[in-house]
Amino acid sequence: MIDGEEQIVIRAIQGEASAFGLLYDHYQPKIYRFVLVKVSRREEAEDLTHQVFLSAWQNISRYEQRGFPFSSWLYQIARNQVIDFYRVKKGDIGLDTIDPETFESEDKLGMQTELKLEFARVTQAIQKLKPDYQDVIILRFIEDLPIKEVAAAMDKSEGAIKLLQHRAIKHLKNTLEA
Amino acid sequence: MNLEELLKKFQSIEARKSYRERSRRLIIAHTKQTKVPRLTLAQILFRGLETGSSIVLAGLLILIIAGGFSVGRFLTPFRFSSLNPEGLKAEAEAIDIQIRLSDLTYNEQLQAESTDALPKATLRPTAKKQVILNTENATIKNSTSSEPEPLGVEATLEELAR
Repeated sequence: MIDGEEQIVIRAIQGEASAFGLLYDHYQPKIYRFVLVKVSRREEAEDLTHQVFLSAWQNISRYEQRGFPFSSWLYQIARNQVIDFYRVKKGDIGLDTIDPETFESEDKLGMQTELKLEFARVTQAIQKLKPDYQDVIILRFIEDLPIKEVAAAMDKSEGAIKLLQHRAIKHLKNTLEA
Repeated sequence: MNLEELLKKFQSIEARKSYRERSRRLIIAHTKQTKVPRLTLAQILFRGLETGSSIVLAGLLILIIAGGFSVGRFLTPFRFSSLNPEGLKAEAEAIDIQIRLSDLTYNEQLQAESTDALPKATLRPTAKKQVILNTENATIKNSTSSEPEPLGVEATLEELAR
C-alpha cells in the first residue's frame, strides 16, 4: 500500500491523471505478475494488464474505499479479465507451450536459465489448479499479501482463505511431484 | 529449493519497460468517464421547475418583443402615427385651408376699411358731408322700404352737384 494512498485515490477519483499514474506505477508490476502466471504468454499478459488499468481508470468513480488497499479492487478487475479471456479463448492455449523466455524482463536479463525453466514448470503446475487455488497461491505466496487483503480481493472470508491456501499449496505440491 | 521460496522469487518478474511506459501513457491520455450523479426526487422537481420557468420567461420575452411595437403606439408619449405620410399630408392641407380662410377674412376687412376711408380722404368737406348724408339717407330708405327706388342719371348728377 502506498503512503497516503487514500488521498491519492480521492485525487484520482476527482479526475487527476497524475494521481492515477502513481497508482499505476505502484500496482502495475503486481497485476502483471498475477495475470502472467494465469495466462503464461507475455503479450497476452501485457494486453490484459493494460485492460485492467484502463478499466480501473474509466470506472474509478465507482470505487468505494472500505479500508482495503486499492490493489484489492485491481485484483478483482484482473480476475474478471482473465475469466473473460479464457471464456473467449478456451482451448486455444496449450499449457505445454509456455516459453521460459516469458519470464525474462528487460530489467532481469541476467536471470539464470535454470530459474527460468523452474518458473515455467511451476507456472504450468499452477495453471492446472482450480482458479481459486491459483488466485490464493499468487496472492498469498507470490505477492505475500496478508490474509485480510486476499480475502478482500477474492471476496471471501478470512477463514475461507486460510482453508483455500492450505488446500492450494497441497495440490500444487502434488502436481509438481506427479 | 523449497516451493514457497521459489514462489517468492516470482516477484522478480516484471513487464518490459517499453510496454510499461507505452501502456501508462495510453491510459493516462484516455479520457476518464465522468460519474453521472444520481438525482433525488426533489432535485428532479427542482430541475423541472428551473426548466419550466426558463421556458416561460423566454416566451414572455418573445411576446414583449413581438407586441412591443403595437403596445408602444398606445403607451409612448411620442405618437408614431403622426409620422404617417398620409396623416401629415391631411394635416398640412387642413392648415393651408385655415390660412386661406383667415386670409380671406382679413382681406374682406381691409377692403371694407379702404372703401370707407378712400372717399373721405379724397372729397372736399362739403362733398364729404354730402356723402355722409347720402349714406344716411340710403340707410333710412333701406330701413323704411325693402325695395329702394331707382335713381335716374340726372337725379344722381344733381345729388352729386350739391
